[in-house]
Amino acid sequence: MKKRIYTARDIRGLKPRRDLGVPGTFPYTRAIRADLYENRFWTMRLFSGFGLPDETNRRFHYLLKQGETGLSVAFDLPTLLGYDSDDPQAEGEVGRCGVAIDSLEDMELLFSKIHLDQVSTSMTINGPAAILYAMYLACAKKKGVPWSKIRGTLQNDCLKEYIAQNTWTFPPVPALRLITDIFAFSARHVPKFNTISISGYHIREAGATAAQELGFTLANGFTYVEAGIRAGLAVDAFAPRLSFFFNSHLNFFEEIAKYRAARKLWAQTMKRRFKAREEQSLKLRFHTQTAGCTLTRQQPYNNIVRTAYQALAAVLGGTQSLHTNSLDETFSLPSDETAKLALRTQQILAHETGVTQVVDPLGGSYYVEALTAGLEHQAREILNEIRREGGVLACIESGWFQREIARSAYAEQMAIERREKIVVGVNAYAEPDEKSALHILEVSPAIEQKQCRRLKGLKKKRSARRVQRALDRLQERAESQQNLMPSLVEAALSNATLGEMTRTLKGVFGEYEPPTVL
Amino acid sequence: MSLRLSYSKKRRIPPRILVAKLGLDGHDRGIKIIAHALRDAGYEVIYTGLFQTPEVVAQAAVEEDVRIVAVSILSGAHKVLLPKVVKLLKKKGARDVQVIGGGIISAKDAERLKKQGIARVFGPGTPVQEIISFLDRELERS
Amino acid sequence: MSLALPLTHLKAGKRNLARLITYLENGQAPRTILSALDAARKKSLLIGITGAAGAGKSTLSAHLIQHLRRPRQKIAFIGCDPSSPYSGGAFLGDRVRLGALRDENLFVRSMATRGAPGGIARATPAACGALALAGYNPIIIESVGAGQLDVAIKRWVDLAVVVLAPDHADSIQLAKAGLLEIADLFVLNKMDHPHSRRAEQNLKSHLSLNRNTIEIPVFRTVATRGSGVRELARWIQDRFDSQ
Repeated sequence: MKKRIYTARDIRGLKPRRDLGVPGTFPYTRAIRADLYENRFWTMRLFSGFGLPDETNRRFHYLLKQGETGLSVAFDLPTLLGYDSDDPQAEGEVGRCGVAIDSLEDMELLFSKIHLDQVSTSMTINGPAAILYAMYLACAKKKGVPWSKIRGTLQNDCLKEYIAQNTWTFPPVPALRLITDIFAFSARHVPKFNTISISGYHIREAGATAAQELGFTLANGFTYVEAGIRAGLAVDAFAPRLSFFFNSHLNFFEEIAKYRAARKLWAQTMKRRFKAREEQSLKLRFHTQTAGCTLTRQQPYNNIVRTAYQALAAVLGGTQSLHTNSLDETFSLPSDETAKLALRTQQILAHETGVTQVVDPLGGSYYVEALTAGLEHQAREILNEIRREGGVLACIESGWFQREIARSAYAEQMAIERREKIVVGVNAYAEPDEKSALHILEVSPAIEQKQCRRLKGLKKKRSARRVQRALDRLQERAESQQNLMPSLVEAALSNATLGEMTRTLKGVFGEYEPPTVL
Repeated sequence: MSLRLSYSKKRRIPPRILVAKLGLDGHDRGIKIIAHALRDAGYEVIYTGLFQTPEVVAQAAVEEDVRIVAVSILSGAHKVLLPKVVKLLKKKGARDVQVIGGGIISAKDAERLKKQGIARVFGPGTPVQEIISFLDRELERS
Repeated sequence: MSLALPLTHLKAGKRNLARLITYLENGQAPRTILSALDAARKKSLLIGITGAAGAGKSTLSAHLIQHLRRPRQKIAFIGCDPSSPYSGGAFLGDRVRLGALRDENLFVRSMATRGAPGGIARATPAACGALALAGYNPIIIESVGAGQLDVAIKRWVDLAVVVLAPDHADSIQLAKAGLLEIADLFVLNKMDHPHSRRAEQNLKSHLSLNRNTIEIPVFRTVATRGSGVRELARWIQDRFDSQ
């Protein structure tokens, strides 16, 4: 029997000042700011990208006109893996589930007529994050925008790629080096950019539970902090720019508790284990995306409702930025119309519901506090288990994470199939002969050739000598232990392509072979 | 974990099936669930791993002598890559091997894929039981 | 259903060969064919690879295939995985490592043990005969990797390779697994592991205790990077080319 009533007895051990703090004070369980949403709502950004850079640029302008407050770039799979559009591996994939970016020229088209000092840009890129970041920095440079003024977030979280998302480019050890190079370089030159977005989102989408999402993500976060310290950085030099990215799933109160527990665990560990002093190093800032895996193909309009509840949970949990999924994402990438509706969902939440008027309105609820403490406890156990198994890298190598996630995913699917878990429109209230009348976004198959032609043109007009020189220097740097960012920016400015830079680095770093986990 | 689904009983000769991830997307939650469920339903499940090309998948189907190839693809490249598998199987003299697909595939695309020889397309949220029943029936027929 | 294929058609394409292996697995091949395949097996060099799960057997096999083959030479790989005693089903995951090596001259087959003891399927020896008859040489057979159960492979392969990872190479583990008795050579894999030196000393001192094992060669590899595999391949070629 599930417990149905929570009382003061369920939070007996809770010491408000120690465990919760006032919003804006350690351990930040309730919120990282006392004035959360008072003067500024969360950043509303929709993950967007498809086709050619100019098409995505049009979508960016459309969304900004609709009131979006930040950009979020979705790259296509070849880009995510470090392949150029003309690579044989890229066949059929160019511009399909994101925008194709091969070079600085494409990056400039992507941000055409967008003021990089006035909008923050989030880039979902991991394996070759350093390369795309270099292109972005080069783009800013060419636009005359100083790096000190650009804001945004690089996802740059390779560990979760090996654990759940599978878009890796290099083996884990050199991948960590690229990440700490970005930490060090940005601390000096790009102080307002979030250098990483440590992501539980994909871990959850792959099938993990809320507690696993929390535990695995924090374990990854601590691994990055250790790597930064090992690379010789002071914790307070880079920790303030670390950010997080969580899922917002369907179990409403559990999700809110998850964000609260995450803030507390991060703050305590940063302070105690890593001896961080700066307040900014202790505050866990996070982006949220509503759970794509909860969307159904059946009765797709139901997805609007699911997304709205999930968005509400994220806001009640104190998110700093939010993506809401579109109702048609089980069919294709969102259309203009459905993307707009997803954005309106956030705007209604912000302006009409009144939920932003009080910080952490659920703080002190017997149930939510008990859930928060429970998730914190489970996450600590998971963190201990990872340590016993030899740490995050060892767990990746042995397939431990992958097995744990696969087990949870299977259990969830079986619960749905046995109807222990109800999915409206799927295993209950189904309409067997429903017809979908959705207007689906079509990405033209012609864009692949178009992008390849553009790439060919670029290779003809750029200086081959300059490119070669830049790639040679990149290789030298990679073989040494020097920071790779300056030579990546230089290579980007020479119009070297993503594929060329990736190949150069793979030549030094080797390839990754994942363990086989079924 | 014990399964309470109505899987068919243990067979004398286990059916063999190839499950493949085609293209560059790494979303393997679905295919792992299917693979797991098929094994529990008594199938011998041959897995290709991620990032496979149509050529590798077709060759594997021939060497493993399977009747059915189940391909998961969530990247949107299905229009190009799935028909290629069918074509290559024909070229290798394995016309009788059925290709089924699963992923983010619109009804319109599914219709077109059917004409190009894809036996069946399963969208997101399809119950595993439905897929297994379909496979059981197809294997019964062949 | 029974076998309708004359064995002479095996070279005509992979499909016939693959179908014959299915018949063998399903126990549908007549006795006369089985004895022909038994005899044919001797045509090819059979390399058995065994060792604990996670030691890197498949990765090593993938690299070994690359190094062993010569242009236009046909080479085969059989990977064995256990069947579930509950459902009779199985996961056959050995192709994952070999996926990148596609070409017409390589034949890869996955076999579930279907309850057979010994770390291989009942039909694996006959399948090797079919592959040999079709001109595949050498043939690499990877066993399930359950330790002493895999001893059966020793009886009919030409070379039994035992793969060990540093965490599995301590002497108690070795003795327990019964792997010392079957090895014609050892491969210590994952030599980039921090414990690899100690593991090597352990293994060598253990081998030196016994007159029968003192001569067994030990190769060191990092299979994920392919290092050390060339030397192993050369040793195999030197030894069997002369025969």
